[in-house]
Amino acid sequence: MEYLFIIGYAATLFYFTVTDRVKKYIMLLFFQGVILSGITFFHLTGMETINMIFIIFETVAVKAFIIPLFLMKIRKRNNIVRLSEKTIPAHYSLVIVFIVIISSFLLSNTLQDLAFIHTKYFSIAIAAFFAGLYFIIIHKNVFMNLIGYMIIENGVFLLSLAVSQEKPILIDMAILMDLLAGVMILGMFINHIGNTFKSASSEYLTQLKE
Amino acid sequence: MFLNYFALSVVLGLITFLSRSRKLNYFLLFMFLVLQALMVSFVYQNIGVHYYDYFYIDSIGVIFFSLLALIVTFDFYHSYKHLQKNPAADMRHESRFWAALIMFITSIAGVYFSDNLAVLWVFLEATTLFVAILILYERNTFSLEAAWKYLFISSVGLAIAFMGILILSGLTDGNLNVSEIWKNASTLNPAWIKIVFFLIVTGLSVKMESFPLYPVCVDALGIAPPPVSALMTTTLMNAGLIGVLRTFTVVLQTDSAEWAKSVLLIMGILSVLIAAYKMSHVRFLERLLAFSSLEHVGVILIAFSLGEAGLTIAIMYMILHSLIKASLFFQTDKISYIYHTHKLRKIGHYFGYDQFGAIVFMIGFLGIAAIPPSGLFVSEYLLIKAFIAQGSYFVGIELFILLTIVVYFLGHNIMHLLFTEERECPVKVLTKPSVMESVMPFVLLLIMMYLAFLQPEFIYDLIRMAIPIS
Repeated sequence: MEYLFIIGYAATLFYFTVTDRVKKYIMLLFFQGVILSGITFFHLTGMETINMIFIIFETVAVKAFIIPLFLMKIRKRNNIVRLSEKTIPAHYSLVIVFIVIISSFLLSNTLQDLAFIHTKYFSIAIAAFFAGLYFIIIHKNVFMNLIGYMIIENGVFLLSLAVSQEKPILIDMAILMDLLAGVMILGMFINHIGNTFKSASSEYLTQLKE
Repeated sequence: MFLNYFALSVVLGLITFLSRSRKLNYFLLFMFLVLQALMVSFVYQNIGVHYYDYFYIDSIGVIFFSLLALIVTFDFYHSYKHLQKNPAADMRHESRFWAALIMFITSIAGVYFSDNLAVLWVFLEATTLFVAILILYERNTFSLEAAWKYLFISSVGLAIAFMGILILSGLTDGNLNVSEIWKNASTLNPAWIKIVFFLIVTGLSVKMESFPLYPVCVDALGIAPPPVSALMTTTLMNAGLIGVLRTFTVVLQTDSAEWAKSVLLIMGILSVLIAAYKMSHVRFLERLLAFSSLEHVGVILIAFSLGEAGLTIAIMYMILHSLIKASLFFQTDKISYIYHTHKLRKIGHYFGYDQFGAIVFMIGFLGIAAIPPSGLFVSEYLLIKAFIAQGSYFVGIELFILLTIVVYFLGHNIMHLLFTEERECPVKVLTKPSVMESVMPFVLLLIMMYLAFLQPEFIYDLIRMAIPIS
């Protein structure tokens, strides 16, 4: 089961680089949310029930449904359908993400004293972080930047599962509130940018320079 | 009182957000200032007390919270003046500005007193959300670009810092309270601690306004209303530095201490180097001050890199820098209003238009350039001396050369502003300056001189207590 989750998660990272339909990106975020809830449910044993319920709520309700639905709403409002404004062709990106994933696994093997960490989840979390950064860099659209940010956030969440240290529920709630507020405000900014420039392209956001 | 401060601040922020009456807003802002004063008095009497496992009132928190309360008092007046000169589209918009300002200040206070690194992160993330609303105040394409970039890059930067915090929680069995971790930090794995430190410092550079994530801060400082920039480049920068300092005190107890010092030194030198280069072709007054902040944070990081010996210098530097830079940003608002522009080549002969304002700006310039009577002069002198004393001649000389270049470009631009005619098609009709708007920046500079020259013992006692190294 563990390998199924990891392969599934890695597959979403590959698929992010090859597709250019915005709906698919949002669907992939939904799949990532589902995989994260699966990992939580099957592998986080020994956790207090209240924390367990909260994390499952966070993954199923927030990551798999609320955020993708919110992104879908922004997509419709700004009429973002298909984007072919990547700065690097998809086949190159595929190779780069492959290298990122392999490097993450190699890096995990070279680090010492991994007793406190779930190595496989750690590897894929690091890969997700770099894949998210790469996704942001290759796209010239603020909506895509938000998708890339969500890939990074999901990677960070996976890292928190890999470390598997329980945090007090209050802190978990505060972190979730921050994330949700952050995504909502970023979404509102995208709407504002769309209204102002009649486009969500980040090429309009290059006026500030010396 | 401790929890009440945060609860009441949130309530005041919410009522301000919902309010559609200007008078009610001013009353609420006054109540918030009273609350700040009460909190200052409370924290002074409760140094060393823990609250709810997540907060700790240490002397660093007390020093910087007092500074926050002081600057905020001045900031509210200048924000009020700024809103008078640049009215909001409607009352809803104005109330949103004040509410975001209250919540921004409350979030910064939360950072100062957080003992738990996850809680510190939550408050830092909150500052990002509120400051983005404040940057957007003018609601034009420039402010939209600056706010978006700041919000987005800050969120990514803080995600990087959070990864470091998560790994640290793994190393410490879930304990993220700095006051507890640092006592047993020597047992932590040095390789992992390096990763933790690198991630946290890189992520928090967006709050410290240092290399590598400084560009979004420069854009934001150049566009945000100057009273907001004043808070960002002083109190928020201090919040980021405190986050790094708390992590650094843990790392100093491990075998990775020397490595961490090198990281801070490199970040510091690169920040000063970039500031020196960027100042050579800067075109806007606020951006000039923003690059000056980049230089100062570089000096602070270099002071951190000396370890225990540098922390006293760094903390004093942070206090003095906050007073001077806030004063300059307040004065900048007035200058931009008089000349109807903040383009450096269109501003000139300021002495001829507003003598008192020009004197205040001149003292502020001497302050940030660390030229006597600036308190920063002593700090920079002690810093270079410390490097030379420990045999790091190269760092000492390099720092001296870079700071000289910074002073040259800073002086070049500000002397033009003060004494020469406008270099590029000047604005014909200038607005009459108001003396009152220079009084408050002047008071801040007087406080800076008082701290630098009379060196009150209680401040130094607090600074000494703030260095939690065994």
